[in-house]
Amino acid sequence: MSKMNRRDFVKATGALGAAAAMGITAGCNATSGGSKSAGGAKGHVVVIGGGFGGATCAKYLRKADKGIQVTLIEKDTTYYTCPFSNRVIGQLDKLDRIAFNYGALKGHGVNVVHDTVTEVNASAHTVKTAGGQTISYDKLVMSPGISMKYESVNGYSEGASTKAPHAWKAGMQTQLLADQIKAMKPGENFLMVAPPNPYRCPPGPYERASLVAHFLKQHKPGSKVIILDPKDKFSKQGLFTGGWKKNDLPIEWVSAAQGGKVSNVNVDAKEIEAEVETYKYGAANIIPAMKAGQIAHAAGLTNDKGWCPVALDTFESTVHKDVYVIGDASVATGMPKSGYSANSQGKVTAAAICEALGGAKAGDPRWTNTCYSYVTPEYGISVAAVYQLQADKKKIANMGGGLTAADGADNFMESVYAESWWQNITNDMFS
Amino acid sequence: MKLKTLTLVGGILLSASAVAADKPAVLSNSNASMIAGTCAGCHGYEGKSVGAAPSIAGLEAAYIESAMHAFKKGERPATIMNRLAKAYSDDDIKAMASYFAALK
Repeated sequence: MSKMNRRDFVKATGALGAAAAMGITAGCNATSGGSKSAGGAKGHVVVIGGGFGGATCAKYLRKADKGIQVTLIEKDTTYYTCPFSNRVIGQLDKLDRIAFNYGALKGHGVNVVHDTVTEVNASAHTVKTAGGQTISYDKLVMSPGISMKYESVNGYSEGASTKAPHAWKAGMQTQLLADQIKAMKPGENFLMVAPPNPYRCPPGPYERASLVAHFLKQHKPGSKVIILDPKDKFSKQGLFTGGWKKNDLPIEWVSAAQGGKVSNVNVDAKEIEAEVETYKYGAANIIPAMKAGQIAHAAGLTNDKGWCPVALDTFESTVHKDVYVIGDASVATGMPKSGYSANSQGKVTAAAICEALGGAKAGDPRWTNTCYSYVTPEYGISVAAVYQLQADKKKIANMGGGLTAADGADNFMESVYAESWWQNITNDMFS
Repeated sequence: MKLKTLTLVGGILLSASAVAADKPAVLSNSNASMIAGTCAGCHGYEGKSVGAAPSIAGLEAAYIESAMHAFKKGERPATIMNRLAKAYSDDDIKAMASYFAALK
């Protein structure tokens, strides 16, 4: 099986990949972090999706054992991080600041293929791409992120998302929304339609509202942010609302109970009809409900809610053997859908796969998530946790962490460490 | 220091173990590299920070251990480590300390 895959790997990836794969040296010290040698694992792992989950997993597979050949399939050559995209929308950073490429991963011996996977054949252990390649694998890691349920908001569609962006995948959508906010006339309002649970980055909409309000307050007198929410509570709510008050930000949050549920949007008339009131806007951000990324559905990995159930010790799919789903697309019971969660899951799953391919023992999993949000560029808040697996393997247990102290003493330093977090986690993935 | 106090005062010891019993049974037999993996997001790849958070690679193991215990007890000022340190057992702290001490 693995011989066959290596041959296919050579065929699919060409001589350069093969030469890299041959450069295996013997001897391994699995506990020393900088191990650069093969430790007994053999096989070909295909990773679909080069975001927080996939890029991390690809890098850490190579770090764990150079006997593992890794092919990363990602459609884009430039990756924009969702974390810090709210700073672009809040006019604090330019889009190129959050752009990364896959050069460093190639340096780690990851074979990076820019293509789109159109089909997964779990029984044959192959994936097909739009570019016409068939690539076989011993283990498949899918980190496909999210896709939008446009139909969850009446009147919204993929086409309408150019006029009222969701900007919930960073890149062109981010730039569009940033430009539309910049072009607002003073006195016009910014409308946000917040998504229902579960969705990528629970505090994200509220950080975005904060940074947009911070911009409006300085540059668009009389303008404010109105959040129409289908929920009655949200992540870090006390810290956000406390921060809005303390920083005197023009934000109005309309909860579900107050009529926040949207019945229709009209992006041409720039009008949003909610349960109690109809709102006119200068710029709008409509964030619909979400589900796992497209390829997860095509591969048959999703449940009736649109997400991928996994065995929590390894994140191997409960539907298909040898297929692992990490990041936002997975049902990681107990962990939030965040970039840091995906990064952490990428490492744990890399260790599990290394063991399954004959390498070092993975040991029991540990995950973490630290999630910083800006209320203003100099006022940060966070929620953090370290996780272990419950003995019954039914839930990922929060072992400790919590929210920023409410006394306000740490908010400036939290904004400094938010910046540091972004620098370090992107370095963890892309250096 | 705190441990000594706990063993001397029976009542406190009892309430402490009651709290521990509320925590779910979890799988704890983790490798040092697995435990250390939870640090990199903020402290940098292999403990080498490229931001304001301190680098932890190559620090003395005893120093890392004492810092973590101080965070855990709330005796060392912090914005976030005081929250996170509580998630690690004494054995976890020992393991991560020797892991990062061994990195250059």
